[in-house]
Amino acid sequence: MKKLPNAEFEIMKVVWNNESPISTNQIISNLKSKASRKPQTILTLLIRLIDRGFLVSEKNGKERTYIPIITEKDYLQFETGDFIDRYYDNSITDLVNTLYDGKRLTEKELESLSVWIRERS
Amino acid sequence: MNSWILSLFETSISMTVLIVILYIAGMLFISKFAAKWRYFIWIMIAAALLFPFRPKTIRPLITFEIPEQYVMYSLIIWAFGFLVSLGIKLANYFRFTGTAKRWRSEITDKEILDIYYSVLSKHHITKEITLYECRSVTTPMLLGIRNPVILLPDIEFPPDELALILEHELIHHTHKDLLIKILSITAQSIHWFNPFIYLMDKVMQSDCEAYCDESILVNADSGTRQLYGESIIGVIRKQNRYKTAFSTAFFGGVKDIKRRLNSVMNKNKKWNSLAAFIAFFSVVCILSSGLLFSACAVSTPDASNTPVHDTNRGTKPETNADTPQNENINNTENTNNEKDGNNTDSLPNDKARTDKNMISAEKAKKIVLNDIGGGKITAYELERDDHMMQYEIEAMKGDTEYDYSIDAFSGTILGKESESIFD
Repeated sequence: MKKLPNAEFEIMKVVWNNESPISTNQIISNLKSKASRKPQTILTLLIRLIDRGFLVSEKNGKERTYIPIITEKDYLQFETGDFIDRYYDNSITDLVNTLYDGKRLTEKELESLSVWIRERS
Repeated sequence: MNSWILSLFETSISMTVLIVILYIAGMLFISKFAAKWRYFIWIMIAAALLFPFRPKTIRPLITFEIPEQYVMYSLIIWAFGFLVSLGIKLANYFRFTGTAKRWRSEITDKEILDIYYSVLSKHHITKEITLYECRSVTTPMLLGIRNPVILLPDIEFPPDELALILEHELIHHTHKDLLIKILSITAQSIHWFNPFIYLMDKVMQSDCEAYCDESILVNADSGTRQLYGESIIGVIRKQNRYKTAFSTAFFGGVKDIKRRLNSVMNKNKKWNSLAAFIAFFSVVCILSSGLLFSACAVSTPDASNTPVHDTNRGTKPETNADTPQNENINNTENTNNEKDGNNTDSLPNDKARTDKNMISAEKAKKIVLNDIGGGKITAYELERDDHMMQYEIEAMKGDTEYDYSIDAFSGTILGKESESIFD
C-alpha cells in the first residue's frame, strides 16, 4: 500500500462515507472541494484508484459503480500506524495540547483505576 | 560566538542543579503544591535556558575551564545537534498536522456544537476555534498557534463528559500552553546534549496538564471530579484500539496517570504560599546562577588556573607550546612568589574569554625575542590591567634580564625594562 495523494484520498473519503456500491455521479455530487469536480478528472482518479487496488468497479446497465476493497480503518492504520507508535513515545505531540498523551495502559490497569476513583469520591 | 557557547554550558549546568532540586522537591510534595506554581517555575527555567545571559561577577564561586581549542569543536558539534533536534521535531510536527488535516472533518452535529458554544461562552472565548472530528487522532487535542483548532477523535462521548473535555482543551488555549510548548521545545533543542532537560520537559508537560485539570475543577464537587477522571480513563481505553505490534513494549504509565487522577480527585487546599516562596527562590537562583558558576576557555593547552611560567631551559621557546606538561612541572620550581602576587590581578575567567582577536602567547614571545635579538624566555603570563589585556614576559639574554609588557590584542610593546642579573 502507498500513501494516497490528496485528490485520490478525497474520492476515497466519499466512497467510504457513503453506501457502496456508489456511482460516479454520486461521488461527484458528494465531493467537498468544488475545484476537482470535473467529470473527466474524477474518472482519471477513479481509474488510478482501481489500479492501486483500492476500488473495484462494475457496470450496472448504463451506470458504472464502485466498491472499496481497502477499508477506511485499514488505510487509517496504514497511514497513521507509524506515528501512533511514536505518539506513545510522546514525541509527536510536542506542539499540541492533548487530553492524554502518555503511555498506553492495559485493560486491567484501566479497570482498577476506574474502581479506584469511584471509591475515592 | 565562543563566549556564547560557554554561557550556554554554564546555563545548562546551573539549571540542571536547579532542575534536580525541584524535581526531588516535586516528587516529595507533589500533592501539596498547587500545579499552577510548579508550572510557573518550569516556565521560568525554560525561559532561563533559552536566554543564557545572566549578571556576572569577575570571580564566581565555581569555575569550569575548557581548553580553547575544544570550544570551537563543541560549537560545531552543538550546532549540528541543535539542527538535527529541531529538524526532527519540526518534521514530526508537520507530518502529524498534515495527516490530521487530511482526516479531519468539521463537526456539524448541532448537539455537539451547542455544548461547545456553551463552554466557549462560559470562558468568554471570542477567538474562532473550529471544532473537528479527526480519525487520525486518538485523544482530544488543541493544535495550531495562529489558527487554533480542536480535534476530537472518532469516539462518542456522553454530553457531560464532552463538556469537560472541550473545557480542558479551551483552558489550554486560555493558558497559552501552546506558546509555552514552543518555548519548552526550543529550550530542549538548544540543550539537546543535556539529558536533564528532557526530564524537565516531561515533568513540565505533566504539570501543564495538572494546572489545566486544576483550573477546571476549582470548586468542583466529587461527582464532577469523578466524571472528569472517568473521561480521561475513557480516552486511554479508546486508544487501545490503535494497538500495533511494536508499541506493546511501552506499557507502564500507570504511575503517572494514577498521580494525575489522584490530584483530580483531591479536594484539599494546596500550599499556595509555600509554593509561591519556592517559585520566588527559583527565580532568584536563575538570576544569580551567573554569580555561582562560570565556564571559561583557557588559552593555553593545559587547563591550569594559575599563570603559566615558561622556564624550559635549553629548548627553543617556539616548541614550548607542544610540551605543556613540562611547563607545568617547571612552573612549580621557581616562581611561587610570583604566583601569589599575580593571582590577584590576573583574571582567569575574563582574560581567557577566548578572544580570537588576541595574539597567542607564542606570538608575544616571538615579539620579545625579536626585540631583544635572541635570548630565551624565562617566564610569561597573561594579565589584565585596567581593562587591558597584556602579556608580561620575562626573558634572559647573556647576563641581562628583560621585562616586557605586550598588548595582547595589537602585539605592540607597551613597556620594557632590562637589568643585569648581577645588580
